[in-house]
Amino acid sequence: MKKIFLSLLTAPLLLSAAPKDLVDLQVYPKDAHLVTLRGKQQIMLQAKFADSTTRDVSKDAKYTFANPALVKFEDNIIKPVTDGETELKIEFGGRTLTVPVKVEKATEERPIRFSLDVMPTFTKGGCNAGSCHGSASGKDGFALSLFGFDPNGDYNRITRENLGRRINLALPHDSLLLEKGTGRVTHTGGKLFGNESSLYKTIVRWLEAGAPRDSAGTPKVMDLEIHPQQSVLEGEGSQQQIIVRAVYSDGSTRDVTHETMFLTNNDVTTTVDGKGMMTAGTRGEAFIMARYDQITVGTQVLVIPEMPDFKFPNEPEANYIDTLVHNKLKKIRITPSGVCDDNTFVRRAYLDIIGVLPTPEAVKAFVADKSPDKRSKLVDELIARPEFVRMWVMKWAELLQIRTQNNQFYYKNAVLYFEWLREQFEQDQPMDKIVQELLGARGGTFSNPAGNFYQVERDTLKLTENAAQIFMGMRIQCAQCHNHPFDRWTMDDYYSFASLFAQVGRKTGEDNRETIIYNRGSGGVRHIVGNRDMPPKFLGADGPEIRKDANGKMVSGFPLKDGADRRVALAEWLASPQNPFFAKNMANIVWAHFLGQGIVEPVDDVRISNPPSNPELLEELGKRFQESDYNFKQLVREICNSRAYQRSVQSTESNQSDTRNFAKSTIRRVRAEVLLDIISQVTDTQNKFRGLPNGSSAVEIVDGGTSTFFLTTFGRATRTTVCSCEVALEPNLSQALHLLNGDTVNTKCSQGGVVRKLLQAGKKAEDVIDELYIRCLARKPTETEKTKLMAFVGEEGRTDEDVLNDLFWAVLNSKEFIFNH
Amino acid sequence: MTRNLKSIALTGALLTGLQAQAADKVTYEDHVLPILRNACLKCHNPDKMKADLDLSTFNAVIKGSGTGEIVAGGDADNSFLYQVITHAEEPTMPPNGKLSDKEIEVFKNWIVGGLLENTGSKAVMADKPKVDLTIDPDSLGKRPEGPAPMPVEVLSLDPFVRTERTSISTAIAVSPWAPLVAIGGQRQVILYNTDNLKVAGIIPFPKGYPHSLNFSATGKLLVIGGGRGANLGFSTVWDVTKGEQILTVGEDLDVVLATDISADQRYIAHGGPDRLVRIFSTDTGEMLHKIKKHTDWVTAMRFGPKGKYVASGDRAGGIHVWEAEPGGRVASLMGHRGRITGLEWVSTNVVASVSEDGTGKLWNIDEVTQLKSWTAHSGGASGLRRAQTGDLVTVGRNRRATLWDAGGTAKRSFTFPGDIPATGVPTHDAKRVIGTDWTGQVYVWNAADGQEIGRLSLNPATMAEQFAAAQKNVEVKAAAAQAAEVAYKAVLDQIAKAKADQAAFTAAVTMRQKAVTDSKEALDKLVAEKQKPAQAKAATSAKTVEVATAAKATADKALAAAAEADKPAAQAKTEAAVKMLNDAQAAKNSADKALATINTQVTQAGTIHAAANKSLAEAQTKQKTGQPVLTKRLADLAKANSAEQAKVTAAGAALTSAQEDVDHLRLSKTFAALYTVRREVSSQDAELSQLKAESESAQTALTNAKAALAAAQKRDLGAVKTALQAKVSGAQNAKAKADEALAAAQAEVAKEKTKVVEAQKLVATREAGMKQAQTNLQTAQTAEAKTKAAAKVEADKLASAQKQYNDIAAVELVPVQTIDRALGISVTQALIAKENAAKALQSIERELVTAEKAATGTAAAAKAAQDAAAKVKVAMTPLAAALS
Repeated sequence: MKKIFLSLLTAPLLLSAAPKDLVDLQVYPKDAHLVTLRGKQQIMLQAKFADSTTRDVSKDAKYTFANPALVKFEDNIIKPVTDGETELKIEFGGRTLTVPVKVEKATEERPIRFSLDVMPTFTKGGCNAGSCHGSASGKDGFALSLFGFDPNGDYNRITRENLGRRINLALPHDSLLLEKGTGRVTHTGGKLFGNESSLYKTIVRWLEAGAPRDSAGTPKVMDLEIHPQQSVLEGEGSQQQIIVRAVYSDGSTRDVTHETMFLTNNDVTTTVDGKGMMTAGTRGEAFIMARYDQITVGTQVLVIPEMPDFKFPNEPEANYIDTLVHNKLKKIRITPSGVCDDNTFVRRAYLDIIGVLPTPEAVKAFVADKSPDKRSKLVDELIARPEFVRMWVMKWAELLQIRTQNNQFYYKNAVLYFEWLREQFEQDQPMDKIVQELLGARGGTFSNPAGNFYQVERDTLKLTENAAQIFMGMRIQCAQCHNHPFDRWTMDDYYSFASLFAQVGRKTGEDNRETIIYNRGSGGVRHIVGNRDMPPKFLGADGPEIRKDANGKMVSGFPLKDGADRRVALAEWLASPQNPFFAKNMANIVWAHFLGQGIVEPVDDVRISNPPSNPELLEELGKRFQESDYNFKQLVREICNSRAYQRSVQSTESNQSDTRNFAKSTIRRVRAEVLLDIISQVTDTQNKFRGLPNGSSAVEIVDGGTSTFFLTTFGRATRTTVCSCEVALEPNLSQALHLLNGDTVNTKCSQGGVVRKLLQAGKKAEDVIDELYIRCLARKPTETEKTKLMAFVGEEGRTDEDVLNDLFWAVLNSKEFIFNH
Repeated sequence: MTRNLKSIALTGALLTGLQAQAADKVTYEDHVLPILRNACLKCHNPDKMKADLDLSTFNAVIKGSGTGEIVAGGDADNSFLYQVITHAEEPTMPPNGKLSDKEIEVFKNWIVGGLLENTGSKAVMADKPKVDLTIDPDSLGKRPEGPAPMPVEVLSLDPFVRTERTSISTAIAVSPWAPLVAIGGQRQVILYNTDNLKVAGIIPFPKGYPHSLNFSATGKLLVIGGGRGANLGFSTVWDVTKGEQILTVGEDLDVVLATDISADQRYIAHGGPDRLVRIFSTDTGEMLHKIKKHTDWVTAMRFGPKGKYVASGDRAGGIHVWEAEPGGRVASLMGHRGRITGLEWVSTNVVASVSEDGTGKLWNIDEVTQLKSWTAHSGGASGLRRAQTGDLVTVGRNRRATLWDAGGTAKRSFTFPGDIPATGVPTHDAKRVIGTDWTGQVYVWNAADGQEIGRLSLNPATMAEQFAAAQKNVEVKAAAAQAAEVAYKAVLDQIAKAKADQAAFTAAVTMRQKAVTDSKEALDKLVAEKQKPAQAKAATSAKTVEVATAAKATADKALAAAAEADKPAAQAKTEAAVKMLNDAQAAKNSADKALATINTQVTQAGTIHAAANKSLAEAQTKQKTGQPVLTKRLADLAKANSAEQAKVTAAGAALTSAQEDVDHLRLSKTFAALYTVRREVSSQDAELSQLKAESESAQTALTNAKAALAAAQKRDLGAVKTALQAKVSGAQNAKAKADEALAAAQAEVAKEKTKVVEAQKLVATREAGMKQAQTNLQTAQTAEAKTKAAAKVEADKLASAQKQYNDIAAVELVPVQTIDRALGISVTQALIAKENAAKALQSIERELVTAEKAATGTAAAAKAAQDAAAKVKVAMTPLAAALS
């Protein structure tokens, strides 16, 4: 009654909004199949308008059933009355949609099943969350499987583990399970549901039935459909209903919207209630996760403010990247910042592409250059330089964990591995080839350093996880013990994928530092639940287990013969267009390097619940990268030439709070190695690192274990894991103190004698200041700066050199120097 | 030491107390203190404090001596003070003699009456139940004298809770001496007679669910541990022979999972999910020890046969043995790797345990060693129980109950057909084994052959249902009896028929034999009587014919031979011969004819005889063949006869038993009604005592109100007024003095006026000060007036309070019965009156304070005026001096 009343209230409100051009109207789900008297199906109608906003118009449409006698229709939920088939006609905005409706066993009760009915209540109630009874050791002596991955175990634990405590079949309401869940007695987890909730009633119904165990052949949830996939909500308070439907192994479906647990990753932007109704908050993006049974799916929500006057400026587009970035910005009504000036660009490009600062001459020449394509020329020029390769070898050395380890990975291995990487990049080896060589490597790790991939990590499961994280950007670790709570990966997926690495053979070569990698041709990986030997399967691809393909057809099979080298098959698949993740992941890593932020962020955390901020862009980048035969330099060139890369860091009114849509440039601290290198560069000093000649750059350090106090302080990756989080860019106090008081900057200032040399060259203090500014910041000082600085020159009792050295020190300590902007 | 056993009765203590109180309200101030003053305070005063005891004030008495409390409200026998003055305890007091009986009586009444300080105090009663459960230590382990302790018409037979389904029960115990099993149900404990499998009684457990049950060593007491998960845990003790709850201990925050009462009945130990072992005294109901040692939920608890040691097991597999007093640890038995699900003392120093790890173990407590370990139930053992005979029963997740003899040999296994078992227990004589399963089924097996004897219900029918069922049963049984009778009758009929058949056979033979004899007789007779004479006659006639023929021939010859002459003669002779021949011939013919007729007759008779003979033979044959059939049939029928007869008897017996059931139930119903009435009466008793207590407290309130009023009256308002007036007059005096001072100052000023103009100026300034003082005086006067008004208000209030008091007093004067009826009203009134009186008093006091303050203010003002005058004077003096 209340709801009807509400809908009466809201309907005119919505209608009163400015009329918009309806471009699309979708109903979810596309069909309704109600089985037994408990069958139900909520109907949701999403309208899409010309300004790319969407609106839930479920309450505003007209619904007519061809045979209204078959069903009841309340609150947009169809409920069964009599068996039969009919059609629901939906009319809105001059459009008509139809939904076939089928009712079966309308008067029969659905037998209650533990796994299908009761288990979801534990997930919905949050009982089996990791912080509660889902934790490995349970809570207060009661353990449930995390997110319900083990229904059978949960059944036994609830009914028969602690005899006489958890359930009471005679007086179901007095069961401790319910007393605790409703908070009627002391419960650390508090009240999770009320006596009137469907969760409570479901459990009572199960208890009243005698807490039966599921019979063999009880269907399983195979898939979870979520609608809508994406919503663009306009204005705070606007709402959108989510519909979740479970698809079972017997082909049946159920509307589980009210039984699903919803989580938002950004409740400032969008909140979601227990019935799947989302409410928009402030501008931003949110991802709503829906968890039912053991499956997690999600839907993306963009919230934009009501800005009827918004006009996207006439921004030029350098290439497809800009088109796609602008598309998104238009959608979310953000005006991007302009392009940065030449001085900023030249410094940014140098730092990003080759990790050094432009020389004063280079800066002057670039600024002076009047040709319109000078920026892309500079990019080409930089890409061709050897330092470009250095940068990327370093990045890959991090991913491949090139780091000496006692009695396992020696310095010689490291050097060979590092050199091999350098060769690959120097020779413009396509990315897929590099990966295939790595994964498919065999033979001695001295003769074929690519094999070191298998020497660095010897544990099959870790190797599996690393491969997924490096090459596909996925953290599948969770799925080792339970189905991934925030992603689609099941334990089966995990162990089947791991199985591909199960047959890697290793033996020590003549030199005991060398390991011979070979194919054992046998061996497997066992699932921790049930100890099954898992057949090999690519992650997210078809395997021996029956799955549905894109067209809903059941397919099976995996073309791998016994004894074939599983790694070779994996290598071929992994770095191929068949793997939907590889190219995108590589492109995203490169993108993140230049834009300071991945399209998926962090770059190695691709998952359903962490969607790309601009899927179309990521898709296109991946596609082009793949089409270019994984030409790495091409990709860099396209990114660096885009206006998105060349934006100013100055924000506009609308992009101030935006961080994820590349509407402005990000200010990034220069990473540790490069920072040390550029300090050395501008101070004309040299560093000595283990195993490298004097004057080598920090970027070239082979061994992750080699470090200096400076590098460690500034967050150099230790390469002990493959995680992108190893490179720390967060500023902290010890960094500031080290720059200010530490020996690096101060010592190098005087050591290099830059100021002295300039003075000796006959330059005046004024010129020296100019020189230092260009040297460090790729720009001349402003008039104000200069006036203020000149005031120090000629101070009583101090030589110009002292004063200028202090100034030099000051410039090196400035934020402008430490940051790439 | 003797203790007042009767006072444990729920209402007894209260009633006794109330009666004592009603008889003579003994208070400390009015009755006890005078005696103490005479006999005790010489030593027990605040200065001397012998034995750290001061008896000079009520609070000091309540506080007690260096060894603790000396009086227990409501329980004189347990009060140390009373014990020493009655010389029941050392040191006897007073040291040099004994108080008079009358004086001792005063102490007793004072204690029993609830330690009243004065007439307005409220009775203080020791709220802990006093229970004396101690038993003769020599009787431990022996069968108690008298009949086996069974609940005989003391417990409800009506279940307190009826449910649609049953659920698992983890609580089960069997009396060591009686055919009695107790099983935990839903908010109740169900007692069954293990011989007849009938409900023996139902004990309510309304605050939760029983999780653990144990009978005391005597079998008289049943301790029930349980409560509500994560909410409440406690143990209660019931006397099953009396059907009374004796004691409740514990108020844990989670359910009690294991509880037991010691063999000497002095201790109860229980534990649960809070991991603590709590040991309580049955004597005081207080917790003696809270032992924090178990690392997980306490799941098993069992006292040793001597009552000294108690073993407790936990969910992590740990077992500890404690000394109930002083609560120290005796042994820790580590070895189990899963929840301890059962503990039993096999002897005074050997404990048996079973665990979810599937093993059973025997431990020696003295040596703290594991004696034996064996796999009891694969998948986990869920319970262990021991009979007085030494036999043990374990149950486990392999769906078995196993009976072990005292030596630890498995005697027999019983399979639970439905689900995993929860508990299993041998009956007191170990002749039966009872097991409960996950679904709440209760099986009773015969220990000797493993056959299921019957089932018990965890959800027994109500009396009404039972009665209806029994009556229905009678009907069914009656119908059966009738049917049996009918069947029996049918058999009897058949027998009669068979017998008739047999008789018919015999009759037929006999008849036919007679026919044979008769026909023979007739034949013989015919032959003899007819044929033979006829034959003779025929022979004779034939002879006559021969003779006649011969005679004729002779005659013929003679004729032929005879001459003619002779011929006529010869002729005649011949003719005569012919005639004779003819005659003979005729006679022969007739004889022959007669013979032929007779011969025909003889032949006929022969035929008849032959037929009779044949018929006889036939009948004989028939009889010969028919007889065995008939005999068999008769034999069968004889059997059927006895069977049917037995059936009839059985049906009759069943009917009788069904009827007996009904009668029994009718009796039970009567009992149940009686039980209900009894419960009602007891609850009414409680209510009554509560009412009485309320009445008492109302009276107390009245008294208090009276006292308050009296006190209010006592506060002499007149005195207050006087004081005020004194103060006022003080202020007036002050004013007068100030006036004088002022006058003097003015005089002086006037006197000196002419002397100097400057002085006049100064004087003018000072005059302002004086004016102020005057104003102040005026204010003081106003205040005085106000105070007077306030005094009047007070007087009015007093009058109103007085009126209220009078009203209350009037109410009090109403007869007691009326008070009882109008109790509520009068109590309220009293309370209101009391409150009003208090308020009135408060406000009077406030007013007094205000008045006092005002008076003080006036005085202060007067003083200030005086001071000002003094100052003026001081200022004047030098001026005067300077001018003069």
